[in-house]
Amino acid sequence: MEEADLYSIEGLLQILPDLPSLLHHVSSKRLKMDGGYTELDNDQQIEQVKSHIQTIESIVHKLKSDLTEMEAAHAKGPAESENWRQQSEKRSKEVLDTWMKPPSRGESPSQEEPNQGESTRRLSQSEYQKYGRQMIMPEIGLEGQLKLKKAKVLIVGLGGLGCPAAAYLAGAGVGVLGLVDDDTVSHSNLHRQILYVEGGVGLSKVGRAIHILRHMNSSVHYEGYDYRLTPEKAVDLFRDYDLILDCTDHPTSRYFISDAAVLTGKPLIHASALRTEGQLMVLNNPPSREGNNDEGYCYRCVYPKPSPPASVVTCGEGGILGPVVGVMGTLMAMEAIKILVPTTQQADAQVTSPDDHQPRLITYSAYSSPSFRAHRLKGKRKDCVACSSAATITRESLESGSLDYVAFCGGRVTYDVLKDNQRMSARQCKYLFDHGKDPHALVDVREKVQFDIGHIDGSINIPFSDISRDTDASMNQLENILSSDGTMCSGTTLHFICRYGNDSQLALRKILELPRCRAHKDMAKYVLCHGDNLYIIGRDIIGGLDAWRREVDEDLPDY
Amino acid sequence: MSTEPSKADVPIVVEFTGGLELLFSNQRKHRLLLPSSGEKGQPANTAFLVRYLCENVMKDKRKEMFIIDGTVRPGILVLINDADWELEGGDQYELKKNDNILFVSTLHGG
Repeated sequence: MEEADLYSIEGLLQILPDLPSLLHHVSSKRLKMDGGYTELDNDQQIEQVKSHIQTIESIVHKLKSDLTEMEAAHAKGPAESENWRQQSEKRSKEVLDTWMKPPSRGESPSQEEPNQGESTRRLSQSEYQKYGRQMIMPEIGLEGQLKLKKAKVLIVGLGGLGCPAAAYLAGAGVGVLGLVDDDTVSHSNLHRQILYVEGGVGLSKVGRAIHILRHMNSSVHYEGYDYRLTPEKAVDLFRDYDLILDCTDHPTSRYFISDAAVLTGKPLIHASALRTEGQLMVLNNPPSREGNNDEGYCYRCVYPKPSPPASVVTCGEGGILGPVVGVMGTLMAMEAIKILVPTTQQADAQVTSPDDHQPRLITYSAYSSPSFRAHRLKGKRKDCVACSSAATITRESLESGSLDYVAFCGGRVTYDVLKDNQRMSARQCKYLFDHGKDPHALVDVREKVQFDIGHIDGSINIPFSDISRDTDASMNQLENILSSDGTMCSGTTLHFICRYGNDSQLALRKILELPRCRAHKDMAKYVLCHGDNLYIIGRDIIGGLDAWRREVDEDLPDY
Repeated sequence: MSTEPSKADVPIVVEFTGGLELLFSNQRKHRLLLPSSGEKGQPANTAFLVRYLCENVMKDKRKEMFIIDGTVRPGILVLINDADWELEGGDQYELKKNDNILFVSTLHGG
């Protein structure tokens, strides 16, 4: 059931076909809680079965009376129907809560465990039940579970990394789970962002994530921050947490999250993923403090200078496989548990060695062998501007906003590379193809795998990567295709299209830069010369295939 | 291992990940025979290897996606036998037989 909403009549109706198996499950679960039949004498066994039958009958009775009320309410119209629904939900919750609870063996809860008073029990009964499987691990134990319960973890970014990380940390029973994201759910998220369902598309990620996480584990306190984290806000927010997970997707946030983690003295788990690969580092662990600068290294120690903007590829551009980013988010949750419950503090922990503190980069590459690798890093830089004794980045510089992370990372890439008269709309292009006298050709510069998903009939695929790699060779390839097609002879005008209208502009500009591309006096146009053949450089399609789908052909795949 | 300069080429494995493989014919693992000395007789160190890769292995014309100012661009980690090259002497590290040199481009997606 999507919302796991057992408390509404709609929810109950949905599970009706599964009711027999559900009742069996609940009944045997209850039996387990009671210690099983074997520990009970004959009379008690009979009482048990009677009690189970009673529970099941009460549910059936409730469904019957709900059905009668529901029919009556619906007959009175929508207002009354809604009113009834709300009332019913409340009552259903009460019934179900009693249903799921084990029957008390004594008269009052204090007699449940006569030898152990309430004061000596350090977790609630439901917590022992929920966390039992991890608490019996020597790595966790009761003390570890109590540490988790006290822990406050902040997850920045609720995408492919943040979703699995949040799910596992909620399941592990951290005390407070903070979630930051300003985005809304979209269809393209669902293959990897496992906290969202189709019904949540268009809604706030923070809101939807907390909704489902509460269903997973209601013992955790969830704090939502439905905004875009900025350097100005980061320091203040990080102060309230013990540990930060960087699940964002951009160099600027990678740098300022690392800086803010160093300034507030919080360990930072950093991971990223693209296509078939992921990377993970545990940064600022243990945190750098004044006079204690030999400790953990930071993101700037590994990458003092940011990558050039042209080499930064997003999941939207490069693609991403769901399980790849899921693996990385899951690893982040595990690293978080290791930091929150250090094994060195466990009595029987002989497993750690000094080498465990060696700075490492973990990489996962789905199609390589071996898939997982750990690489030794240099670690802390003596002259790091963020975390060394020579640090120049201060809390003030972050909070005042005087550090321009966008500029540091090379600014925003702007795509207005062509003049207006070198561009046209999808509709204009369609008109030209249908009514133009001269021959026109449409060059689609998306990668082949995207072209194969869907393209405009008659368009020619010359991938942007080929054009970038070797513009001249890619134009020879185009010419071969054109000359083999009798209708696209010399004199054909070439237009360019891509997914959103960015790469096609860059492609057109690269072609214009070719030595054999020159201005033609008579035609007042640029022409591409190839032996005796001339091809006229036409225009770039504004907004690419995305615009074509909106303006011309809505059947084009919206991938 | 002998420190004497060898006349023979040095067999090494060079790997590219994090998208760098796209610049090298979409091939992650390259087995190379690196000349045992550089153009001017200098040792076959990683600085030489980077130039060698750029001139002889990289078919892609976007050299700036791999090299800026004569060395690997920011955002690329160089790992010699799975250790940061800065632990091994950086671009002065002299390559030995069967070394594994991995170039990793940092990823940002999430």
